[in-house]
Amino acid sequence: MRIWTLFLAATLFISSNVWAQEADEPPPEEPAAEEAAPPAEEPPAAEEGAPATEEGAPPAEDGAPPASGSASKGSAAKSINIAEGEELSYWRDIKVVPRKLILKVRRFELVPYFGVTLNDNLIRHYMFGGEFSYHMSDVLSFGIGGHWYQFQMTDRAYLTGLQQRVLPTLNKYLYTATLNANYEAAYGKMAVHNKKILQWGVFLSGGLGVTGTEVIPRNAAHESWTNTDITIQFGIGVRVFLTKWLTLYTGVRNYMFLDKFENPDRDEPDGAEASRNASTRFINDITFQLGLSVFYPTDFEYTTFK
Amino acid sequence: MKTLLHITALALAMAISVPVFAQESDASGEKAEQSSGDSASSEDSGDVQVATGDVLSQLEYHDPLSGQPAVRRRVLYLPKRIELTPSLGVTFLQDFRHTMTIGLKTEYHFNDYLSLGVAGHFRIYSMESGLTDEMLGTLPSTMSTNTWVDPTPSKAAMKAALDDVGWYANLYLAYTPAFGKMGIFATYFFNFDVYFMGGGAAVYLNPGNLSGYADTPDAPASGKLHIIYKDGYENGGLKYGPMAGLGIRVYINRWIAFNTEFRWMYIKRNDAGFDRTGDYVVSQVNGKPWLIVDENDEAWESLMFFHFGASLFYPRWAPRSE
Repeated sequence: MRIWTLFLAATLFISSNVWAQEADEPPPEEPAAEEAAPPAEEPPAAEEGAPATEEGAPPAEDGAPPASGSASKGSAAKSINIAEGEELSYWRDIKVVPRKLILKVRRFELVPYFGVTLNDNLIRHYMFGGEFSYHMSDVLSFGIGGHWYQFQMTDRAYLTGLQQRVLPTLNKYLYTATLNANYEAAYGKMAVHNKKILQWGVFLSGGLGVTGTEVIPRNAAHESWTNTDITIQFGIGVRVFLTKWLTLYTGVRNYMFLDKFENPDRDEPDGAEASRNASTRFINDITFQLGLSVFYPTDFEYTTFK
Repeated sequence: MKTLLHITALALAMAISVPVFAQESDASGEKAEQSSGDSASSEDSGDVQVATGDVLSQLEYHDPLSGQPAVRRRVLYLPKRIELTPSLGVTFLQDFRHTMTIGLKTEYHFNDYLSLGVAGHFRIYSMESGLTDEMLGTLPSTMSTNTWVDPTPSKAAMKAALDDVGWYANLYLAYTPAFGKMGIFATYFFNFDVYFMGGGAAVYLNPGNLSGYADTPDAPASGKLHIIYKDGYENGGLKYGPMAGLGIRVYINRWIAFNTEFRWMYIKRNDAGFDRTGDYVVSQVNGKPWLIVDENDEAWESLMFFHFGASLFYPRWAPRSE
């Protein structure tokens, strides 16, 4: 009995060190035992036929023989090795077509943005504004948007008078406000350096609203006047989700309206009278916008299974 | 008593052996993690403690996706491939003339992220911008007979003074940080990547020609503009400057992609072709001033193009990643 007990103790002591030395060996070609361990909050699917062991320990694969030195429940340690070539339950749990990373349905979106007009060589407008919208579905949203303009004359506006001896007829924009409908026509995912995955979407936007403009008189002694023009908006935008609730937004939008300009033959200083003799022109106010958007609620729940 | 000693020896052996087991197991886990990629941070790993009776075994499990590539088995469209892209270009936000070009770019992709490229495009067509049309609608058809008092150019003179893009070439490095998949109307799905470019540009500008609309200080004439091109300068020639850009390739298959890009070049030019500094020389004949048009009238301006083309890759076969 004494010999037998000492032999058992010695065997156990030696065998545990042998086990440890074997574990030091490089992991097999197949993923290591740790890779077989699913995250605790995502246990393997029941249909995999791999019953989970207690306390969230990794499940034994079907037919997977216990590794050398491993012990069953109640023994000193649990086996974490699996047989070489065995499919891992973790990978089985990854679907071929994953769900969208982020859902927008029934969420509000607030987009503060900055922008600049693109298509006027003589006067440039910077804009500061925002859009507030509600996503009826994952692709369709309705919202209200608007911005204020700050104008800046370009060098060319000065040079046309100097070089070509012509004075341009210019209006400055004051504000634009529109009711918009946005439809996400394309979406995708991209991996940055094959590490970070970002979801993005391209949406088409259309809307109706008003734009305020003000005439810049060629003659400084003449009065100005303002116009309020019905505006049709059409554009395209991209949003890239940085988190579940924060996106980077950029877009190009065209605000189209009929605007009234100074008549080239104006000689009356009175603004109201000059307005009646104004010349009308169709304007494409093409703008580039850049901003961040914030979604509320900041989180969402999937409505379908994986 | 002997039995008690034996049991104590057995328990001691187990007590010694189990911590060794746990430590070595952890080391094994770390080693496996390192062998499969970047080591996981402690925040990414989940600790699982398994208690069996009076024996505590501590096993550490790591997130198997930590440090792993975001996409496996993806098609490697770029590494060690040559890209040829014939494309059409069109200027963007030009003051007086829009130019359409045709050309070719060639890039060699060293790896997934970096490539060296050269591109050249030639003018095929030009058209007046909206601003030019507005001016032409305002300017007179003929110049005043007394251009000392009214030096307004005629429509033809204004157009004749303008420069025009003849060709341009770029040498650049391209950086492709991101790739992905996109679905259009949830029906068509494509792979794509986006890239940024930076390098140098050489732009040849066809000069304007006001010879038929200007006189000289030695031979004053009525109905002519009183300007001179100093030292034979005209607002054309070869210009150099930096360039930058960005683009996207949408892959149709493993060796063909639709390519759209934006290129910005920054060069010194005088696209209007008239004086802007006010410098002049006085005629020895009549003592009146002639405005000088030279390099001093140039200013740094942006020359921007959109390109639309089809990228062809060689070798045609693109392998998949691990």
